[in-house]
Order: sequence, then C-alpha cells, then structure tokens
Amino acid sequence: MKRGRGALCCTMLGLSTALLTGCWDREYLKDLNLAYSVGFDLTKDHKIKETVELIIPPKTEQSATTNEIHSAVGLSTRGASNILRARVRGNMRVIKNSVQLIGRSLAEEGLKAPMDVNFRDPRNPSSDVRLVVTENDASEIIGMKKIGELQIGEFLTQKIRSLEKMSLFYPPETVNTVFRALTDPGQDFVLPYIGVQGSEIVAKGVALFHDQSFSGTLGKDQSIMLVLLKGKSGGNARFTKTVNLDTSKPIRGSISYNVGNKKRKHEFHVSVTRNGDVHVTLSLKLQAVIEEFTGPQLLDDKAVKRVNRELSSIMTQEAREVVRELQQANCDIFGVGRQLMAYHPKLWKRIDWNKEYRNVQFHTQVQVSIIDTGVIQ
Amino acid sequence: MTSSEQTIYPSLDGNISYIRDKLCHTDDLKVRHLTYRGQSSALIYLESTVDPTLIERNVIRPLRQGGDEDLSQLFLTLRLETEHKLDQGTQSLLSGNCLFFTKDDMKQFYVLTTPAKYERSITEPENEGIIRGAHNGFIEDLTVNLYQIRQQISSTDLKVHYHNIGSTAPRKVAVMYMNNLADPAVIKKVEGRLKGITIDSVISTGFIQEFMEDQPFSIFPQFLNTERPDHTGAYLLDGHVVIMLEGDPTALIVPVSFFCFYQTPDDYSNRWMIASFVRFIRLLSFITAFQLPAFYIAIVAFHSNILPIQLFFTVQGSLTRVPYPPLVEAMLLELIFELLREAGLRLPSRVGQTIGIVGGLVIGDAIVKAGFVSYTMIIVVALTAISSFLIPSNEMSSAIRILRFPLMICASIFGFIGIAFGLTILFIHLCKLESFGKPYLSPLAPLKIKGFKDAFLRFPIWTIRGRHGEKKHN
Repeated sequence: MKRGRGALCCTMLGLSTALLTGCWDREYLKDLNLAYSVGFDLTKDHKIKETVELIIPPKTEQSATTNEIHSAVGLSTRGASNILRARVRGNMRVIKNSVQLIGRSLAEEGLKAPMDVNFRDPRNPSSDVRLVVTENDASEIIGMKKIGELQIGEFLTQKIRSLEKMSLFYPPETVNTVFRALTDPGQDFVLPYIGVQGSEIVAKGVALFHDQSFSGTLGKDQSIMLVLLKGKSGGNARFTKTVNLDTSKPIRGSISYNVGNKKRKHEFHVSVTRNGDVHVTLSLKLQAVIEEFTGPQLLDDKAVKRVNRELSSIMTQEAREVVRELQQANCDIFGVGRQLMAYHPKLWKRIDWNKEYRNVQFHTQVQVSIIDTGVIQ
Repeated sequence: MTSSEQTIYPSLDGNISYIRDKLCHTDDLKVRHLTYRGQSSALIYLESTVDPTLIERNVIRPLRQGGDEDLSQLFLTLRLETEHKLDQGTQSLLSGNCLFFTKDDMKQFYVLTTPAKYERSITEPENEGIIRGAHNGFIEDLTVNLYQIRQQISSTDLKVHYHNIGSTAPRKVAVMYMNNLADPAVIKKVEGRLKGITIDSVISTGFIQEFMEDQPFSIFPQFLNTERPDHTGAYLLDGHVVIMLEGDPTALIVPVSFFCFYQTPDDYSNRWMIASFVRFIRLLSFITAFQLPAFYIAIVAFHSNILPIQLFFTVQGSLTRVPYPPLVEAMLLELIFELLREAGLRLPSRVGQTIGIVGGLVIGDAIVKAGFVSYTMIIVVALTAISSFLIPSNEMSSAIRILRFPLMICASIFGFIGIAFGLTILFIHLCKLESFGKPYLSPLAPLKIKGFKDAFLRFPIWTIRGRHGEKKHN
C-alpha cells in the first residue's frame, strides 16, 4: 500500500514536471538559420549597419550548403539584428558564429557599445568567436559572398586560424578575451586587421587598441615581432631579411628563418625609479632555423656568427620600432599597467596612465642565434 | 493431507485398486501379475516413466528364473527400497520407479528404481557460444548437470542440497555451493527464500528467480543465469551459490554484481590484454546502448551549438525533411527496431533472412527516402542496437534496451540536464540495489579499488587471484 502511494507520487511528480512547466527553451536544429559571420559598420549618421552571412542548409544530405548575405541599419547592434530578423527567412541564430568583423570606422568609435549584446546574452557564443577589424567596411568583405570555392565565413575563419599558426595574430583574440581586456584598465589588446585588395582579402597586420578604441596599426612583420615580444608563438614565426656577409664586397643575400618553433627566452620586467620613472626591460633570445639563404657563401661557423650579429641588430631595431608605435598608439599590450597596479599601487593611483604610458622607457633587446641551417651549410 | 498416511492394505487387490484410484485410472499404469515363492505378486509401474528393457531384463527375468531367492539377491543391479506408505509409493511411480507387492509380506512393499532416460546430448548452449574453452552445456536432466559440475570441481567441499518446490507437481531444486568458500549468510538467505516459495508448480527457473529476488520492481536482473557448466563452476569456486531446477538447463547464480553481467568465459581464455580491451568495449557499450538516442535528442532539440560546424550542416540537412520532433522520430525508429528484433526471434531461421531484407532495405532505406526519419537517426539507432547486443547476458541487454525510453523522454524535456537527472536517479537505484545482501554495484559502490582488476578490465590472472592460495572474497 505504502509502496503504491510512493509510486503514484513519483509518477505525478514526473508528469507534472513534464507537462506543467511552461519554460521550454528547446530549439530544434532543423529550424535554425545560422549566421556564420557577422559584420558591423558605422554609417554616416552614426547608426549601426549589421551584415550577416546566413547559411542555408542543403536540401539533401549530399549537397553542399549555400549562403545569403543580408544587411540592415539600426540604432544599436541588437536593433539592427531585429530589423534583419524581419527580413531574413526563419529564425536567425548566431549560436555557431565564428567570426565578427568590425569596420574601422566603428572600431575608432569604441567597441564597448556594439559588443554589449555579445557579452550580455549568455546564449551568444563568446569563447570561439574571432574578432577582426577591417580596413574597409565590414559589409564590403562579407558582401563578397564567396572567395574561390569557399563561402566567406568559412574562408575568414580558415584564414585567421592559419595566420594564428604563423604567429601573425597570437594568442587568438576572441569575444571572450577582448571582454576581459576591455574591463581591465591595465591591459590593452590588438585585433587582426584585414583589408581588400582587388578581389582578394589580405591580412594587413594588427589593429592596436587603446582602452576600447582603435588607435593605430602594425604591419605584418611587426605583428609577428609583437607576438614574439609578448613571449608567445603560434608555432611558426618566419622572417626574411637581407644580410651582408662580406664587408669587402657588397654581395648581399636574403635569408629566411623561422624563430617560432624553437625555445625562446623572454624577459619582461617593470621597474620604477625613485623619481617615478617607469622602466621596462624587454629582452628576447630567439633560436633561429635557417630555411633559405640566397647568398653565395657557405654558412660556416664564422658566417653564422656574423649572421647572428646582423640579425640581432636588425631584429632589435624592429622591436624598438614596434614598441615606439605601440606607445604612440597608447596601446599597453604588454600589461605594464597591470604590473604597476600589482607592485606599485601608490604610483598607479598617482599617475594618469593614459598620458604616462607614452613616457615609459622601454629597454628592448633581441638576440638571435642560429641553431640549424638545414641539411646544407 | 490425511490420505498420505494411508499404509499398505493386507490384500494385493486392495493395494492395486488404491493406486489405480490415486492415479485416476490412467492408461499408462501397468500391473504385471507374477509369481514369487509360489505366491502371486504384482509389479506396478507407469510405462511412460520407466525403461522397458530394464524392467524386462533386470526385474521380470530374474523373477522368472531365480525362483525363490531373497529379493535383494534377485535385483542386484537395481536400487531396492522398502516402503509401507502407499502414497509415497504412488509418488515414486511418477518419478520412474516400479513397485513390487508380494502376498507373503503384507507389511511393506518394494520400490525399484528403473527410470527411463531420454536426454538431449550435451551440446553448447546456442546463445552463449564461446570461441575457446569447454563446449559443453547444461541439459534438462539435473543429475547430468550435477555430473558436469562435479566433473569440473572434484572437491569434497562442493555441497548439493535438494529441495522440492511446488504443492501439486513438486519439482526438485538443487542448491549448490562450496562449503568452505560461500558466505553462510547468503546460503541461509537462499535456503530461507526457497523454502518460502508457495506455488502450485514451478514452470521454469524464471519462477524461482521472481520469487527470490531482493527487488522484484527493479529493472536490473539480480540473478545471473547461464547454461554453461564452466561459467557456473567458476562462480561456485568464487563463493557464489548456484540454484538449478530439474528439467531446466539454466543455472541461477547469486549473489551477483552488475559487472558479472559483462563477463564471459572467453575473457579468461583470451590473453589478458585482449580480454581487457574487449571488456572495456563492452562496458562502453553499456553507455552507448541507452544514452546515445537520448544524447542525440538533447543535441538536436536543445544544444545544437555543441556540434562542430560541418556536422551541424550535415545533421541539419538530414533533418530538414523530417516533419516531427526528434523524440517522435527516435521513438518511431526504436519501436520499429524492437518489432524487427522480436519478429526475428520468433521466426524460423529459414524465414529469418526475410526479416533482414525487410529491416535493412525496406525500412532502413525507404523510411529515410520517404522522409519519415533522418539518416542520422538511423545511425544512432543502429549503433544503439549493436551496443545492446554486445552485452553477454540477454537479461541485462533487455533491461538496458528498455531503459533508453525513459531517458529519451528526459532528454526531450530538459536536454542534457534531463539526461543528468535520469542518470542520477538510475545510479542512485543501482547503488541501493542488492543481490542477496551483497551490493549490486560492487566494486564501484562501495569502492574497492582492488576489485577493479576484474571489473572494468581483466588483469592478468595471477594478480586477480592470490598467488599463495588466498581465497578471493566477494
């Protein structure tokens, strides 16, 4: 009798939870229309233009997907999305969004406002969504629809992932990491910077940000140098430089080397002098693998020593240039402010970091040593 | 039960007519009138239960030729007992004995053991085939079965205890255990529950099982049944108790843990690495066998964002034409599969191929083309079906097949959270379940790391069993 009542209770409980709960957040896979890549631009009248690439599922299992490009202008990001929803078919969802493009004009205004919806709604993906700044309008890039055989969203994702492996952008900057940097006063961030050349999309380097707004750019080699200065590497970091091995004869050879796949020594140290000057020691020891050398000499031990010296000086020069540009753009990518906050809080409270960052003295040193010349000397 | 006190009548005819009445004048009752020591005597037997040549050669011929010698001298090869209660005699007629009444000794009669033996040959059980090892199996004769076990375990500690169960048609039930290894508490429980069974007749071992289970309302079987003597012997030597029913080739083994259902004799004849791998695969199949459809439903209905992008479009592409929710789709296909399975079981093997064609071609392919279900659902159901057949025990396999339906409903209502809740309830139940006082989920709960050696994997035998003859306690 007792058992019967228990069973009845359980059944009733199960049935009521199953049938009476109104909140059903289920969303059938087949009803979803995926926005794979999204772009945001600022229009002339300061509204937001949202461009999406919708993926249309194939009619049968064997056929491929197709894409559609739609765009709408609204007061805010979500506002534009709502106007878009009225235009596109079905239920537009960004759950598998992989890349968000931000037009340069919008980036200059600041990222916080247009990105707000991404951070606020937990159903929006954030950890694997790459953020990219475009030289031209984002809508122009997404509007290209297809690059070769690939759909635009897929192309951009693949391109950015492969460039991350080449240390052009590393570590990957996603909506998640950008949110952290945005809320951190002692740390800034950089984003991949792409543009259109003819009918091709090319990586231009990185876009530097101060606080939340775009403040400058770095070139491709400089971007790789920046990644190395951060002490990171995406796996490969390749440079091609010209060196002169014989002082008597002006024979110059170009040398290509990879410093990304070997061990690096990275030193980053912030110190404050008595009078409140901030000094940053940034030294990098790289081990290079020669991949190509077009000079007429053999790279024997003596030549290698010379190349080491030459490359070290070239790289140091470049590193200093990168740091200079970073300071000019007021982009505290190394997190010097963070170090000050932690170890010199009194100083941190006293100074205006936005102004003071430009006065920080960087002592940058890069040392390159060749450890491998390949199978030939 | 007053009639069972009926003792022998003084007259021969009285005895014969009493037995006739008692057996309802059945036609296979034979009465042979003979003369012994010059006086008329009668041999009574049921011709359907005795061996006719045995009677002719060892009973009637000595009586005709031997003349007046003592009965124990005449029937040298047969077992001879004396009895004076007629009802006991009638009962022994049913089990293949014959009764001998003489006129000069009206205080008792003789019972001669002359049973007919029509037995199936000892063949390998069809649904418990193995690759290597002994290929014999139990048959419907209890003594032959006991012989097979005795042959394997020639130990003085192997004890057999008979019980008779059933009030109208009692059947013999044998309880076996190693006297030095089995837990006395378990033995006491088994004997107690066996004695407590009140039923007219026992049709099969399933009856015993249902009467004796700790938790008859649980979906999980708490008896391991096997038709393999080597399997049974191994469990006996592990200290388990075995129950066998006369006329049934199934041995019931108690107490068992969940992991016993995932072990086969093959595990111990294969080399340990291979056996470990196979066992691991089998335990993996436990997870896929009932969670895969639920998992699929949860993904398709709630969590489609966890699919990799390429898979996302493949699944979406195959789903676009399906008109109803994933739960209905899954239920439909699972039920079709269960129909096919049941039909395949009942059909004679010659028609069995038809089922394969109908199932594979007609339903498998046409149902997708017609847009009833998606290809991905077919893959999921096929994987589930294969996983469920990986389980060596048929009972466990059926239990797990049924389990996936509630889990599918959970998944369709709450997604992954629903699955988590369903599994929590399931594991709470499993942790609480006992088989004759022994925890069902041992060695997982209560945790015994040492027991893992023979539960999840199969470690080398010398590490599982003590080297210096220490016995293994379960």
